[in-house]
Amino acid sequence: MNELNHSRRRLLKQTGLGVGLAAAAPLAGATMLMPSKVEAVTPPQHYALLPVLDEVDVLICGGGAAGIGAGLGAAQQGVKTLVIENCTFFGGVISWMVGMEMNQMRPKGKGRSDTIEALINRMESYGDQAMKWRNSNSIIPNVEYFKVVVLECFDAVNCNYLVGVRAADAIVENNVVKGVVVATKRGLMRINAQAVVDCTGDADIAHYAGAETFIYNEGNLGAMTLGSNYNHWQKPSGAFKKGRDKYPLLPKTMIIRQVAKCEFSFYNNEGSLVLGNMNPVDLKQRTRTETQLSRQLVQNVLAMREFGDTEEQKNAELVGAGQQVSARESRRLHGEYTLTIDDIEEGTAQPDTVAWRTGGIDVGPGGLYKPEGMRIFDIPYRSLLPIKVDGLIVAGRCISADHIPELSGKSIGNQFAAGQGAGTAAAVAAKQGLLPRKIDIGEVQAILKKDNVDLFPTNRSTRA
Amino acid sequence: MMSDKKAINRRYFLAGSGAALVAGSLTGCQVNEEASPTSSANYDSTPVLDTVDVLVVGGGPAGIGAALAAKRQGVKCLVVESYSFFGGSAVWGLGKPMEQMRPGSKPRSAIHELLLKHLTDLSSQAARIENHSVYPNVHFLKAAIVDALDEVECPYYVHVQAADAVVEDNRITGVILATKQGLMRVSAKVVLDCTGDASIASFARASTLSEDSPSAPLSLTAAYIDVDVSSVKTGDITSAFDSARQKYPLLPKTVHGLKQVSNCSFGYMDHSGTSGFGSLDPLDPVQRSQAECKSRRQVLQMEHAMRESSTTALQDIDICEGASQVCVPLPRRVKGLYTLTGQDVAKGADFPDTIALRYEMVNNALVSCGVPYRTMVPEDVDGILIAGSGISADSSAVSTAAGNCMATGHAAGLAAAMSVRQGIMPRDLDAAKLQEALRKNDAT
Repeated sequence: MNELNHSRRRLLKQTGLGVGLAAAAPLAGATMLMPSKVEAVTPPQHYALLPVLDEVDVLICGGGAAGIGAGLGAAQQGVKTLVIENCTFFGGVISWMVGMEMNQMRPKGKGRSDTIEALINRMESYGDQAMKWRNSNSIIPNVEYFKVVVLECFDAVNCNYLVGVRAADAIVENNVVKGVVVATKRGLMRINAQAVVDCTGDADIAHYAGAETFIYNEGNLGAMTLGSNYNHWQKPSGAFKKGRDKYPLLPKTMIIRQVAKCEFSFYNNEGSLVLGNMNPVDLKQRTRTETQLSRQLVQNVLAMREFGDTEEQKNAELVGAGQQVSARESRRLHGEYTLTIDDIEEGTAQPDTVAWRTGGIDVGPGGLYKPEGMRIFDIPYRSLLPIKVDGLIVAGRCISADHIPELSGKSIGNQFAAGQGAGTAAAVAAKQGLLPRKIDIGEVQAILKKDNVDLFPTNRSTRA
Repeated sequence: MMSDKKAINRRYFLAGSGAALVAGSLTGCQVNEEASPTSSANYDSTPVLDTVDVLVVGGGPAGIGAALAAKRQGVKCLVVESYSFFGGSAVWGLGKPMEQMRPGSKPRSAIHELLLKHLTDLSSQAARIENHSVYPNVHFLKAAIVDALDEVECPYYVHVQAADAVVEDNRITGVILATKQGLMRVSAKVVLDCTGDASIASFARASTLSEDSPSAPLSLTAAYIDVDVSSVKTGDITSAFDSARQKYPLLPKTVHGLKQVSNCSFGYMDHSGTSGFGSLDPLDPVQRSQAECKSRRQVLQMEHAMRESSTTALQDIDICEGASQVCVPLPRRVKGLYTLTGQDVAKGADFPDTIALRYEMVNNALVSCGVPYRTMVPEDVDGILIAGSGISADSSAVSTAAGNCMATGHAAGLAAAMSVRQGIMPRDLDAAKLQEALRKNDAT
């Protein structure tokens, strides 16, 4: 607890957060990675001539937890919805972490929405192979099952999807996002949309569109981790201590758990902390992280085999690895409202809430802390909306939030919920032919309530 | 002039493309390759990420061969890879053999051996070498490739995807990358297209050969665990699948068995993939997406069928990893100055400009055929060489074997470095000089 308070004070000092950071005020202390393209963006002229891959009402970029929530939320409103994903499968961090707990799926034992419950039910229907509950709130998935369950959920609500398609640029006219340019094997193509939801985790689309984005890069960015799976694996304890001289990339802390009820384990750790402060959207640092962490996995298993005490440890094998590293903290939107540490501690209720976050803080360096003071706090629709650019809603890890609010309650369940809110809002905007900023958020809230979302929780304690 | 005529055609297609293509939409995406306006794009204002002598696009076996070879010549070199790791098809094979890395069990070149040294240095877990093939644990392979690139101090970026080519007067002068920071440009004297399907050449509107080939089945490899790999027979799996077809309609028609990964206790399974799902074009974004998604469901159904089979040894099997993407056995290729044919392969042809050998096992015998330099040079675009499975070859002469791809990569890397030093276009390089340089690298 002392340690937490200490680190929080330090962080507060570093980030220069005052009480009640005014909406739309410049973020004091936020380090811009690159100057955002704040002037009106003129798309290259040839974008108008690109082949049109599709025209949709709602386009969701990124198929992680937020994107899945957004896709389901939008498609259920009967609008033409398309989710595009860079990888050949859905799940984002869930899939890349190859078995890490999906936390806050049923906070206090209660489902977050009928939509999310439907996804859980499909996972459960596959039995022990697919998942197990670690506690009443956390699911440990076999991600190969999860990938397929997402497809089933999309199919059930007629949500279209394309995998292996990378959003490369935004199409912006008069400060309104009209679609995105995607990189394909046949060259660049465009997808036109009434509303775009940025679920890229790094505010890629917002950045491309010239919306203001920021990253708190004060040397304490949350670490990146490359998920991995092992066979014959036990907690390495002594083996890593003994092996550190020979294998310098070994992490200092680790969580090891069985994947569902399968005969292999996943492994979570503070990953890139051994490399120093690494920025996920910096090309050089990202490359270094990806490649060094692929070496880290090899060192993990070699140290285990070489310095392990038990037969199991000596026979450890590396049987799987994430498609890419998972980031804890990255570039994000500077929106109409920016969540602050006060919001966490007070459990702020917001009139324009579309979801809430609960859970704990995961602040690096040092690992997991659960602050006494954290309460359930609302995600106002304003924190999903860029200040100047329209036609775009941001959801997921990259909504407008300061350092600690970003790292707090970024659990998977929270991202599903916020994604569903964002997707629903995008659908309402598309249906009514309005810009996302102009919609009546009360309508979105009414739709979410019908889906059994408890949008206005009275008890804001994070404890069950 | 040829280029003038092209320019007119291009404008014509541009005018027609906008409206006509909307209708294609998601129902089948009838995107006409000819209609791609990309090479008319003006990227003058796109930020420049780097300016290099040799840009290698794609970090699979061909790209690795190219990068190692070019960098060792002392030119300024950069490799870019769209995934977060190197290895390409060798990695999404999840343990499938890298074939012809040592044809006839003999070392093939200094470049091939450099990679193998780094792989085997990692431990006996990293790979098993049997005859001509290397059976990797792909997670070790990823690290070994980085080790090899670092040894020669070749710079690289991962997680950046080549999205377009910069073309001036029919010459490629750079590549546009899709990055987290937006589109960025890398300018290069020579671009080596190691994308596996001639993507860069195609972006630059070079003629390609995909139209002559029916879509071959795509297959997603998966790794399975908690099964005694050595005791399971292919027949057990086949009968498990045959008795479960009604319940699991996506089961592949044929399986090539559950095979051991490296020297490890788990296995990978290769199979006939999408062969029962109709023709799916791997280049079409919509059809490719369908193939990837169906294949995800397929590998899960394979697990179900094995767990429910009457063979005790299969009943506990767990799926532990699905590959990053499907394998594409018959990719798009460039139309080069020469197109290697099945007849060339059958008769073991040799050419005056042979720069690599294409090895293959036919009825348990090793056969080889020369690969002429001209197969790497596009007919109609300059500033670029193609290496790997995208070289000019008809559908019966394509090779996706890692060792063969690395060999053409090796040759392309040397050719690029020599062209840069001589200040000439790769097409004007004297193949005899290239052959001499290859011999200095112990290439067979």
